[in-house]
This record gives sequence, C-alpha cells and structure tokens, in this order.
Amino acid sequence: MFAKKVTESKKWLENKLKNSSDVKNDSISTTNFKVSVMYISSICKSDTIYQYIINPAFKTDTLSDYETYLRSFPGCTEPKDNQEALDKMLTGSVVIFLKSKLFVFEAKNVQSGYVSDANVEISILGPQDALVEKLSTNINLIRHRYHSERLSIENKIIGKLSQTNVAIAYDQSIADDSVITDVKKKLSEIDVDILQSAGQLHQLLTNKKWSLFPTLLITERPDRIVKNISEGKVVIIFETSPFALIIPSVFFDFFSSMDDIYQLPGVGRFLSFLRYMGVFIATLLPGFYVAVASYNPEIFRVQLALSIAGSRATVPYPSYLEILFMLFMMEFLIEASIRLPKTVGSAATTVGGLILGQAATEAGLVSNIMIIIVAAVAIANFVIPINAMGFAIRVVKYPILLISTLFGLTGLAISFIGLVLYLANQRSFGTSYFRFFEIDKPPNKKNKESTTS
Amino acid sequence: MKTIRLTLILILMLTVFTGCGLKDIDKRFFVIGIGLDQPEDEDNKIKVSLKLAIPPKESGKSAEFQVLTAETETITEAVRTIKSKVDKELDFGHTKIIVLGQKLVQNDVRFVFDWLQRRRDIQKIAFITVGKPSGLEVLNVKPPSETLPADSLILPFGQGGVESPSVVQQKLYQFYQKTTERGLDPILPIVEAKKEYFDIKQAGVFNKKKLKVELSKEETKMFNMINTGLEHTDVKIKRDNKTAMVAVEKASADYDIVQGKKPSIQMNIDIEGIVEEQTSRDPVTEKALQKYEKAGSKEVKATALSLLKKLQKENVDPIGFGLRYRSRSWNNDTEWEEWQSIYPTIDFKVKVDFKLLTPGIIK
Repeated sequence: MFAKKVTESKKWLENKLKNSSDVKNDSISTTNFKVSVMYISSICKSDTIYQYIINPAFKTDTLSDYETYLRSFPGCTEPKDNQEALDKMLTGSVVIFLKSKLFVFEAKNVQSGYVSDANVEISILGPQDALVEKLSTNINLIRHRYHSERLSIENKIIGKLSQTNVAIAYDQSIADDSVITDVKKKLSEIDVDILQSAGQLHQLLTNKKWSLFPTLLITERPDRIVKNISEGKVVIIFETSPFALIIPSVFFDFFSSMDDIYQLPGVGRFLSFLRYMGVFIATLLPGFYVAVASYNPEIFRVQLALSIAGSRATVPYPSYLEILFMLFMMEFLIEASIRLPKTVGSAATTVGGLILGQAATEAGLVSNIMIIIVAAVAIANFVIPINAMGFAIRVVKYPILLISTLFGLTGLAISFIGLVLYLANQRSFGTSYFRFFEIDKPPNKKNKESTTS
Repeated sequence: MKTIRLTLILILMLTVFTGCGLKDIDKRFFVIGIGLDQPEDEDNKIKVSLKLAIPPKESGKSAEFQVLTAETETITEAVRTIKSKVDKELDFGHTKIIVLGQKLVQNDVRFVFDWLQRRRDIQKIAFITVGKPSGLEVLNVKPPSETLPADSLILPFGQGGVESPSVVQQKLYQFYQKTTERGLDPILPIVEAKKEYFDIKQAGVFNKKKLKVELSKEETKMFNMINTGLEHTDVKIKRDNKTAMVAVEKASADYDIVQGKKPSIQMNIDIEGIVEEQTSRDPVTEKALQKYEKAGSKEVKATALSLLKKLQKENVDPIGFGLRYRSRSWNNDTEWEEWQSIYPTIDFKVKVDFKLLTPGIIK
C-alpha cells in the first residue's frame, strides 16, 4: 500500500513514541486512496485535524489532488528526514503519510485560555502558569516545555468509584527503571474508592500510619515538573487535581524554590540560606526559649536575662504554658485565615492580631518577648516554599518543645538529634531522604540507549 | 514493645542529665556582683555581700538593685543566710564581678577561691577586683548613668565600654591560675568607690597570698604597656619648662632575659604617637619633634625602671619574668630556686624607641 520508505518512517516514529499513551495513529480510507495520520493528541487541536485533514480527504477524488490540497497550506511541509518529522510532531504537528510521501501539518494547540497563575508556589521571575484540573491540559503544559521523544506519558486509572485518570510522566532515558516499576506496581496495588488529590495519593503510595514529613513533593508548577523530569524523576499528574507528585524527592527538594534558579546565583544562594535559617528558627526557637528561660538563663546576656525576667514578672503561668498558649493562638489564627472565605479572612487576622499583639501583653497574660518569639516562629515557618513541608515543620516544633520543657537544654539537643535521625531514616522510593550528592544513585542501564539514538 | 522500652530508658537517662530543675527566669534573683570583706565581728571569718539585680518592670526604667549582707564563718553559710532573706532563688549564673575588700586582701585570701572555684554556676570569666574602701561600699555605688545594675562596674573591664589605659583586667580563672603558678604573680585592679562613680586607676600586686604593693596610676599604665601593649594612651613629656602631651597610637614592649655571669633583663619599648597638645606657642617642627622624642624616651625609661625596681624590691613578679625564665631553661629541678636567687639582684636594661609622627596638614 505504502512505499517502503514511508512505512519505515512510520515504524521508526511508532517505535520512538511507543511509551506515550497520547500518541494517536489513525488511518483514513476513502474509496479512492488511503492515508494515515499520526499525532500527539494532547498538544494538537482535534478540530483542526478533522476540518483540514480528514474531511477533505473524503472530498477529493485522487491522491494527487489531496497532495496539492495539503501543499497549499503554509503550515504544511515535507520533512527532510525522520528526525525532523519527530521534532515537529513533538511541538504539535500531525504527520500525514501518503503513498510515497509524508507531510507534517501544524495543528498546535496551546492551552493558555484557562490555565491560571500559580498561587500556591509563587515565583517572582519564573513562568506563572500552574497545573489545572484537567489531565490533557496538564500534559499539554508539560509537553510544551519538554520537546523530546524521550518523554513518556502512561495513563492509569485509579479509584473504584472515582475512576481518576492519572498519568505517569518520565524521561525514558534517564529515569531510574526500578523507581518506574516500583511506582507502577504501587499504583496498581492501590485499592481505594475515591482518589481526588495528590496528597491522598502521597499517603497511599508511602503507606505509613504516622508519617509526618512529606517524602514526595507535591507541586503545581509545570516548570518544576519539567526540571525534575529532566533530572530523571517520575511525575504523576492527575485528572482532578491541579497538583502533581514528584517521585522520588529528598529533604532538600522541599526547600528549593524555582526562583533559586531564575535569580542570579548569589541571590539564589542567599535565599536558600534564609530558608534553612527559617527552618531552624521555626523548629527550635520555642524549645530553646523554654529551656533557656527556665533551666539555664546564664546563656543569655545579662541585659536580656533581666529584661525577660522583667517582662515575665506579671505572667502568672510558667514559661511552657505561656508559650503553648501563644503558639496555639497563632495556629488558630493561621488555620482560621486559611479556611475562612476570603471576605471574612481579613477580619479574622485583624481581630486575632490585635488580641495577640497588644491585649495579651497588657493583660499580663504573656510577656513582650514571647510575642516576638511567636511572631518569629510563624514568619520563619512561612519561608518554607513547599506547603506540605511547612505544615510538617509546624507540627514538629511541639515534640521538641515538650522534650525541652522536661529536660532543658539537654532535651533540646537530644530532641534535635532525634529529629535528624528520624529524617535520615526516611526513604522516598528507595532514595535516602538526606541524600545531598548523587553518589548513591544506582547505575542506569538506559543511558547507553539514549546516546545511540 | 522494643521502642517503648528504648524510649523509657532514654527518658530515665535524660532525667539524670538535666542538672538544675525547672525554675522560671522571673523566679530567680540574679546575683550580679559578690563583695567579700573583712568582718567587723572577730568570731566570723568573712562578710559576704550580694548585689541582686531587680529586673525592670517597664522598659526604659533605670537600674534597680538590692545589696544583702551576711557575716559568717564560711561563704556557704553566708549565702544560706542571705537566701532566707529573699523571695526568689539566688542564681549565680550571671555573676559578673567579684570585689575583694581592701582589708580582706591584707591577709591570706586564698580561702575564698575554694568556694568561688567549686560553685559550678559561677562563671569563671567573672571579673575580679580589689574594692576600696570595702567590697560592700563598691557594690552600693549607684551611678546615675547606669541602665543595668552594676553595668558601670563591669563595662570598664570588658571590651564593650570605656578603654582606659590604667585599667588592669583580671578574670577569676586568671587570678586563680596566678595564685598557683610559679613565676607569675597575681595582679588585680583597685576600684575606688566614690559617691556616684567609680575610680579605677590603680592596681594591686599580690604575692600569691595577699596584697603586697599598690601601683600608682602611672605605674599601672606602664604595667599595661609592658604586659599587654596599649593602643590608646598618652605620655606627658617635660622639656625646658615646656610640657607636651603625646597621644600614643601604639605602645608595646618585649623583653629578653640575658643569662650569664651577670644576668639582666633587656627590655625594648616601642611607642608611636603624635603631639596632641603643648604649653608653648612654638610651632612643632621636625627639630622640635626630635627633641620631644629624646625627652619622651628618657621619661618613659625612668617610669619603666622605677616600676620594675619597685616590683623587684617587693619580690613580686606580675609580668612573668620567672615564668619566662622557667620556660627557657632545661634544668627543671633547680631552675625555680635559681630564679629566686637571681631575681632580687637582676639588672634591668630598658631601651625606648620613641617615635613621633608629624601632625598637621599637607602643604
């Protein structure tokens, strides 16, 4: 039917894109001739394909007429070789196989109309797009940032009732095979009625009862997804959730913002330094305050010791109750302002801020220093760029506070060591949570393949 | 089960390590200064005064403090007695200054170090001084400029406040070391209590046990110059009825112990500065500067020699010539005895390199 050259090209293209579920390979048979088209459905406009490629095929009499018709489009060209055809295809073109020729026909579908700005992970200089609650759009967003045939996208359906479409995206040549098989295996093992969010899938994948720290990164930024895919990670995208899961993720990933790359290196380093400072303040400061103020006040400078003692003079409760009271007030305030409708939210912060900031000290319930400490803890906590990690840090300061209250500075040191040990013991799909360098990365057998292709 | 057992063991271990129990900062009375004096009653051995800081209730209020005194046979008893007079737990963690009364240091004072060294909550970096007329009176002074209790007593000794060339800085551990080190004798600053201020310009040299000799203001300055070097000081030069004040930017000294038939200590003093003020109306020319330099070195040499001879006469050694001698000798068994026989008759040779820089504008 087709000439040998065309059949070979088609085979070659099929082979290159065999792992992608969104590749469409259709043949059109009219009474007079037969053509076949191949395209990536997530980045092509199906209307265009029907209107300008399929429909006219039935309306023309001969193949040469159809060829002339195609040639009349400025966006329709004859590719030099297979590679060019593939490249065009990956940027949103349809490959049309005629009897002895093949054409590429541009039918790009850029979904910008209903892609909203990122509002959870905000970047100043980076791209502003965020994922949406539609899988094909999300794949479109990723494909448009990663024009490579090595990007595989495989579909899966999870949830007995919800039948949620999820897609596993990765770069075939650099992603770790064992992680891919592990992810697929775990996904197929999942037995749940309804799957609605990335966080839920995180729990189902890690399967731990009391886990506190996120071991998979949840993101809404296509640029972060693409960066991670290019680093050989596996990404799970959802039909109903504007968030994606990045597998595997280590501790330090949760403290990197995309702005670190977009800013100048000196600025970026300073920003990440600020974040780690923030983590230490948010976790250790409440415990440190109690340990020092109640066990070892000689650590302060004498001036500070006296002013703390002075400001605490009217406080009727011991320091650990004082700080617990204030921390809980702060948590209530944060929770209230997150969950309330936006119109009421500002009222909550105003009332809360007023009570916490001024009235509590004047009533002698808490000391001035305490207000500063609680504010520092809250602000430092907001510095953490990934929300899930921010929540984990919010929780982890309480055990540290408890142990510091019981055992003073020794307790603070021990609980901090305990926290580090706990984190070091975590694994994210086989990767150590504290992995800093790429030393323990297993050798990848697929690397060879990619260099030959 | 295993984790529960481990946690229990950890908690038990931790309870052992915590040290002092939970006591809030506002339930503690911080002892800022300790004064140790000769008791008035013959039966007792020591009079202890504690300067307790009262935390300011509102920010911006000036320093309030309370001084409590007790006379007993031991310091521990005195502290117990004072404890029964206060409502909050005494905390020695912020003790910054220890004042030994002038009368107390006339006799052997080494017994007080037992308490000061053994108390783990007293920081060994507390400053230690001799108080005139007594430790209690020094603690009782309240300068109007003070923002925190005993601030104006602590700041001159630390690097934070005024940098006076006649203040000798001694910390508790240094003083204690020097009471046992052979060849290096303790020296303490002498704080004189005035009505609303302190006068710290003198120093007292100890012969391990008690105060042996008091140094005058000029001698204290010279001691500091030889001992640690000075950065901001001044030298007064007198020449043909004219007086000039030299602002010294850098003054330092080094010395060698020349051994031999007639052992001597060769000391070089380097001073660099500018003429800051003079009584005559003559212009300060290059020639005049040379004359001032000559007169200045003579003056400094005389002061240095008189200080060294004074110390030699009293057979005390706060600069550490003996320690230097011991560190440069090999005969460990006899060197100390040798030095003790050498020191009273050793010859001092002082060479002063006085350099005056031309002040003024570029023409």
